[in-house]
Amino acid sequence: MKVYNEGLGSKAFDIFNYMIMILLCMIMLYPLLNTFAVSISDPTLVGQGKITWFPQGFDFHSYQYIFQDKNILNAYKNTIVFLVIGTSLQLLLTSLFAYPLSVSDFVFRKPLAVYVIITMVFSGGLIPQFLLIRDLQLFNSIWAVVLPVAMSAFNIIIFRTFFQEIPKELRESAYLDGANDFGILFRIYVPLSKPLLATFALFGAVMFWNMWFEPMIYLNKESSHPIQLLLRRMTIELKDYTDVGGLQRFIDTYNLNPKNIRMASIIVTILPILFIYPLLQKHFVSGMMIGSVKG
Amino acid sequence: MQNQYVEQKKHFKKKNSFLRKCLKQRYLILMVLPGFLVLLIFKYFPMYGITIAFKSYDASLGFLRSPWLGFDHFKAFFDSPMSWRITKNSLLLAFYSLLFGFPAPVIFALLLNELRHKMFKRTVQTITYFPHFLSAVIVVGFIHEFTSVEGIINKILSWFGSEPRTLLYVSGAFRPLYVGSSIWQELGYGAIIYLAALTGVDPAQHEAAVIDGANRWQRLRYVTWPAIIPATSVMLILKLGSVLSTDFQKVLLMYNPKIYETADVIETYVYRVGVQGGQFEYGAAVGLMLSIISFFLILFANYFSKKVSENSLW
Repeated sequence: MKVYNEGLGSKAFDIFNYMIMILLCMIMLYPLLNTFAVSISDPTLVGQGKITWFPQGFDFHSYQYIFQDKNILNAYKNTIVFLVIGTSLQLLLTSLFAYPLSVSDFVFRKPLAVYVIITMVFSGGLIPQFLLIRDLQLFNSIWAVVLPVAMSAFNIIIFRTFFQEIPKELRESAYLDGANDFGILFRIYVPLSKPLLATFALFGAVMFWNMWFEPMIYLNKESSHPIQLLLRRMTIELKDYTDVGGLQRFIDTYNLNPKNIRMASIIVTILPILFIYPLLQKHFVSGMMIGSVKG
Repeated sequence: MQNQYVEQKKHFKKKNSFLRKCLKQRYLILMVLPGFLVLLIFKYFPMYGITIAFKSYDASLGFLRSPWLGFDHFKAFFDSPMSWRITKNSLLLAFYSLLFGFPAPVIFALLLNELRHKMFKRTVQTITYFPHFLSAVIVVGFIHEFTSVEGIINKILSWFGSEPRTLLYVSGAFRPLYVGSSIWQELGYGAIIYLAALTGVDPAQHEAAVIDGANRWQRLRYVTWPAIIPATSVMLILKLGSVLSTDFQKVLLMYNPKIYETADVIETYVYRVGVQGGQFEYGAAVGLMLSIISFFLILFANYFSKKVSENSLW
């Protein structure tokens, strides 16, 4: 925008605005930077509460502990299994369901659209969902976590809208060349929808990475808990999460502050999200746009 | 007679063509089948499962064969001293979230829109969007650290002469902490939709306003603001409709028996008595009431918005 002749008030507003923005960024960053700083700082300084923005007196033993703790590595592995299976299932089922809905002369097009939209408005709630999983005997199974979220009305609608944008001549000519619908979906539609699939894969991955409630109520065995649940036990319930002796011995040997390890565990849970954040940021604006314009 | 015969034939043909179409589209039908079943089992079965709220559930008989009971669970809820506390807590938490949490991203988007340095603007966006992607566990982990006795929030409060204490054990601190941390997490991300609406403003409108002698505030008031009114009212309706569905997972992570007084909301109560306590029917009844109230709230919000601003969801 061109700058027009500015009054004093306008300049004052600019300064005020920049100051507010800088303050906001500081508030947003402080928890993250402080956590990181504490995780690698000298335990005695941590104990005195001297660490604010920057680390002091480096000590990396907390990370050494994290990467040798079998429970943490196991929880990491569990989360990755949920994430990979859950996200692929989501993309597969949603594509399979949305493609026929995008075909204009599909016999069940209208009834299925209504069928989907109803799930958007009404839901059973926590208790019936819980009893259902129990009656299906899915307790302690990965499917209890992955299947209920595999299909969402919102995703289906966006996929369908996206598929509808693909010229139907492509489909018709593929038909004439003897392709069936599975071939058309996986050889033509899916490759053409890569940006859409990438966006939803990223968002699905973040959702599964952050999930803790469903695993907590459906998975009773601690050995099958994901990283977020372990983190909950470490930071919020403030309970010792492993064999009591192991952690305590480690803390004593290296003279650590338990806070070092707590903060380090938060950092290793944030890091994967931080790594895919540039990708996410590239996609989420466009992803939201697809939804809001056509929704 | 002849006519009837033709009619019958037509009907037969029509039915036949439907089946033929199904046969022709058998692959399409095969494709929707898995998704259809997942929705049926995991979305529609629980909807039917709500009937448990009117039944006396017997695990050995299952959902379908448990005997009907009527409204006993609802009566029990209204008679219990809990009903008032959790309804009040839910409403108040929702009210404060709306009061402070709704305008924050709107104001933030407007301020962001006034920034002139592109680089600075993008940096601010990158930083403020990030917390949205953190899990509730991490955010509540931060809250635990920063509200502990030696945490930074207590340090700041002590400048104003307040005794340091573990704030999560203080029932008066729960609502500010919940609302504040939600704003921290969603401020940037929530502003995206408004920023998108703002990019739709034609720069020529601003130029025209300047030529007409409008100052910056007037331009904000009469050019920028009208551009985001539709987005704002749609978001407000959606927020009002889901006002009672608090982020109960976060509440669950934050609360403890010492602050049930203010922190215990409908959903956490349902979780405690239902999932943890095994009183499934009672829990389902309370949950059902919550969804009924929410449903009427969204109807009301939509009606209200239609009257006032001619923007509505349907």
